[in-house]
Amino acid sequence: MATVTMVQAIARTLDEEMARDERVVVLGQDVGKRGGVFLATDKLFDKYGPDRVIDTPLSEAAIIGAAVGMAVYGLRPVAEIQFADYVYPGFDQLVSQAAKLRYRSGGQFHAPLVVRMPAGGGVKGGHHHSQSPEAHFVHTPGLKVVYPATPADARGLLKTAIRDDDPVVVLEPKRLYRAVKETLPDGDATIPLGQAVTRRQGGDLVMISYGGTMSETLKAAEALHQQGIEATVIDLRSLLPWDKEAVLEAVAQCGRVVLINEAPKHASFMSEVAATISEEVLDALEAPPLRVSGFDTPYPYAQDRDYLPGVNRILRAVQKVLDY
Amino acid sequence: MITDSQRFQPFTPKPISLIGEGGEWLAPFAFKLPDELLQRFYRDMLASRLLDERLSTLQRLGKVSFIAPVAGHEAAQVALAHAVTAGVDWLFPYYRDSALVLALGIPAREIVAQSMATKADPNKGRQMPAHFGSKAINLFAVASPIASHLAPAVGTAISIKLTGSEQVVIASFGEGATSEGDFHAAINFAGVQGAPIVFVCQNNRYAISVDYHKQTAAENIAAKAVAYGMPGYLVDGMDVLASYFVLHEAIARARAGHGPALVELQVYRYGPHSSADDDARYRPREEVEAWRRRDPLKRLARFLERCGLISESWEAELRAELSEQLAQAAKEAEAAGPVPTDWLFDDVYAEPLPHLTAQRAEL
Amino acid sequence: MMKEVLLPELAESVVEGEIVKWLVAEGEAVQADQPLVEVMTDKVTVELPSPYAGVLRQQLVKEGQVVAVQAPIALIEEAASAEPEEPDEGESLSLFKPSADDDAVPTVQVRRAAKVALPPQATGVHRVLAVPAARKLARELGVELAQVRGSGPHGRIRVEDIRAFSQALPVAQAPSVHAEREERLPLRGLRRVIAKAMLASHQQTVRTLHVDEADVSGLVALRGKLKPLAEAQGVKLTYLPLIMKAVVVALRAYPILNASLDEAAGEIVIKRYYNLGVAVATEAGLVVPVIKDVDQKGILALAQELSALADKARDGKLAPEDIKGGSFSITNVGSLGGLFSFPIINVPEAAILGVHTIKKRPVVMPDDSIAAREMLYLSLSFDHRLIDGAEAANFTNHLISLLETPEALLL
Repeated sequence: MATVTMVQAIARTLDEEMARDERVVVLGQDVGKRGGVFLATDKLFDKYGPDRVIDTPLSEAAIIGAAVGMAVYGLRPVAEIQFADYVYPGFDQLVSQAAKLRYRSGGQFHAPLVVRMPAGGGVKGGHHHSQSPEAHFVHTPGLKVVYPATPADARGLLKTAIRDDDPVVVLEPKRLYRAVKETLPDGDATIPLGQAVTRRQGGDLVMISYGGTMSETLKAAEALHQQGIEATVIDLRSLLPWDKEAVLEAVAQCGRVVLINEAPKHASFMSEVAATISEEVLDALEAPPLRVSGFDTPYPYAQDRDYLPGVNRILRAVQKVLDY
Repeated sequence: MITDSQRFQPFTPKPISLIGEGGEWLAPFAFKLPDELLQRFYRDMLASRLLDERLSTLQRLGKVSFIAPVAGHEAAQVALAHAVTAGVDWLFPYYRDSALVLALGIPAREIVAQSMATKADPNKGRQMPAHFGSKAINLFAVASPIASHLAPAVGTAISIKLTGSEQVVIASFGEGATSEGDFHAAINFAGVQGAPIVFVCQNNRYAISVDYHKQTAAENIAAKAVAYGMPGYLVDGMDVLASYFVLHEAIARARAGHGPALVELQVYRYGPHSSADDDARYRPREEVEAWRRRDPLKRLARFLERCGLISESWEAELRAELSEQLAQAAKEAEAAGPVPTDWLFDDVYAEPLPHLTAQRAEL
Repeated sequence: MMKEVLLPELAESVVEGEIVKWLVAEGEAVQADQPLVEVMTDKVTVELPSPYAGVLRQQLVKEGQVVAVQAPIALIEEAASAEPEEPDEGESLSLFKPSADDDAVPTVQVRRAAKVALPPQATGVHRVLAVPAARKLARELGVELAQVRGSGPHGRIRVEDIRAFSQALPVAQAPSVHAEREERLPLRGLRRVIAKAMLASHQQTVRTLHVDEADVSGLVALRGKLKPLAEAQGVKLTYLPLIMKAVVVALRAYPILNASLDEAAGEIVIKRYYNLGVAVATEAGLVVPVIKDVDQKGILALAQELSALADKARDGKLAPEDIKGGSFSITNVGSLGGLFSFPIINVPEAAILGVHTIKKRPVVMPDDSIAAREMLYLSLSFDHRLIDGAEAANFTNHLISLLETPEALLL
């Protein structure tokens, strides 16, 4: 199988799925002729034509809403929102229409759609090209949410999302789009939703992250290893559903955990993980679950790199947890 | 545009009417509709009027928590029901479309059951009253956020176009919805794609209490269609035949691949916005009374009289029959019993997720 | 059959309505759905239809009266030949009326943890800080958290503290086959307090012993001269006041012996006051009353105070301030015999001096002759965290020189 970047893996996956199932269509701004502003839909237009790769007007409400109508009719739309920061005009379509359709119709209708969006900072994009808004989606019953950190995971999760009968939001860490190349596994290689992966094993503490901050988390774990401290690193990669079992088991083993994500700290998804850890394995804890997150400010331009939880901030939290 | 078989002009300065208040035929073309259909129109409009009254009674008896009265809209909605191919075409209604739903053939029992949240509701009692949905007739389940159903309607229409089917999509909404961004997003996309969808706006001049002139500065809703590259028809929605003929043409155009249209049906809402509304606060009784005199049922009745298709006894028998049927439907709806509490956890996803299974145990 | 008509909830958040006008008189027949009464709420004014057919027997509410939603407003006697009643026994199947089987509010049980009896010294500690895993381990091992010294900030107890504590605990003894030849006494009161304190001291300090001897022949002679003078003033003079004065001088010279360790602050606290604890054996056990400001008191005053405190101790009447505030302690087991010992440090002090029997012993003199001299063994236990062997030795040497030449105390 090929060795590709994350964004190449995504384009490949869409191609594979569109070839596999003629109901799969792609829609969004610039996804057609241009192949997507990040080339996530590269060459699909040439191969599948304007009926299955649709350049839409500039309207997230139209994109996501139309995806609902297509899914209801029997297609499998994969809508692209150009930046996660722009999902808000289409937010009502996701939250009021897509998320609640199966429930409000008593199961008569459902919306098997995917909404993909590049998310996360570190790209000098400021307020509106750097957000990681997963908290809004995981707080909406009826949606599923995934947030891969590697090319193979992006492929495996996107496949599962497309084949899932429920609406799935796929957040892609754009600063990792071209950062790393990975050899994709052979075969279908789908990854089930709600399954985390352990990237590193160690007995001194657990570090949990997802998306772009997986990169910093692994760097921090390596730095700790150099100092003789061994961390278990878990990549959640799926947020709704999330792999509660894997997390609780790991935390119960060593009683110390640090939760790392780049979204603003207040009411972030990691707050849910921390609350669950406290509720279900309190007796195992030798220190409070500490969150290392983005700051509770709009995403800054000049201080982009300071905003993101870097290795130093992560290690300071690790120190607190080990010292407790 | 279909030019040779096209009867109606878009963007007329005045609403298109085909029968006058006295029941006289106004149009220049010869009229040909089967008698059964004309009597059916009357029957369906009367049934809707009676269902409206029954739901109002049920609400005041405390058996239904909320109603959105449709009296005044009957001609518009019954015309629409007959202009589509029920069970084939797709409909994306709004919360006041009870006449439409009934005339499409949904049993009154289901409509009442949805309002009562009993087990006879195909939507499993999930929503507040007036939020119906039925897969049996491709009727998309109503969601409260105004105009939020329009973009999905367009998506379905685009899918129909892409798959080469001959279905048409109807999106039904009030004039208030045209102020939402979603209206613009949807109708613009439909125009660009040439999708087979007819946007049907029932302009009853009030969005709860906000009157038309506070809603838009446009002369009428139909005029907005220019901006989206499609024809906009201005129609007297109290005239069932005008509504029927214009809708039929717009739907035929769309079905033949000539793209979308916007049809404005001007109506008047006799009742308040809902059972929680007191319309005396914002409109004068005289205005309501004046429109009552232009009751769509009465206008059709006068037309049928001229055609010899109606009599007092026929009407009285019909009324008794429909009342009986509706009373029976309400009884059956209630007798089905309230939906079980633990249905609360079903249908969030195709298969329940673990945390939902755990929460079910907390009931 | 008499049926009640209730005021329905006419719109969301409506809680009451005013009866405006009765449309049917009492005693009048009424049909189902016939308008019965006009009701006004702050949202709408409506005519309520009658839910039953029959005769309106009673208007329960007058025109102009305001009633709550779900309150009864009328009684209708249902006609015998009325429509067959729905199988709901007269209650309209309103889904918005509270039904008889609405959940009663459950009572919440609060589990109050059994109050832990804290030992007297520990009064003033309200909550023990401990991480959850430590609490759990403590529960499992039957360890009382209040007994454990936490190694974390603010005395927070960590898992390793529990483990360390439990390893120091004696293993519970299996019931003996010789039970009838054993007597079991409950560990209570002062004995229990002492047991805890001894263990705590043992665990917290690095107790090191320095033993030496002093030729106190001169001291014995001095005391011999002073004793009758003291008795003339009604004071019994022992060696202890003299030894205490010598100790104070030595502590002045080597202040690290008069200190304690503040772990939380990470500081050594050197005391500029000289409060000496003096161990007293009582029936119940050993207590250590403290004589404050020994440097400021004369020999007779010290002797008196010692005597008074000893009596108080033996009577079990010591107050908390009598045993607090010590900076150094002396234990005098000389009366009971023994050569030297390894006393337990009276934490948080840094050292304790054990003083033994003054005995005549043959000693090799500077001119190689052998003489019978009055000799005294001194056992100094010190906390090696604060005090090194050299300082302990220096202190002791200085003390010994004072005891051997007690006239130097006048200086």
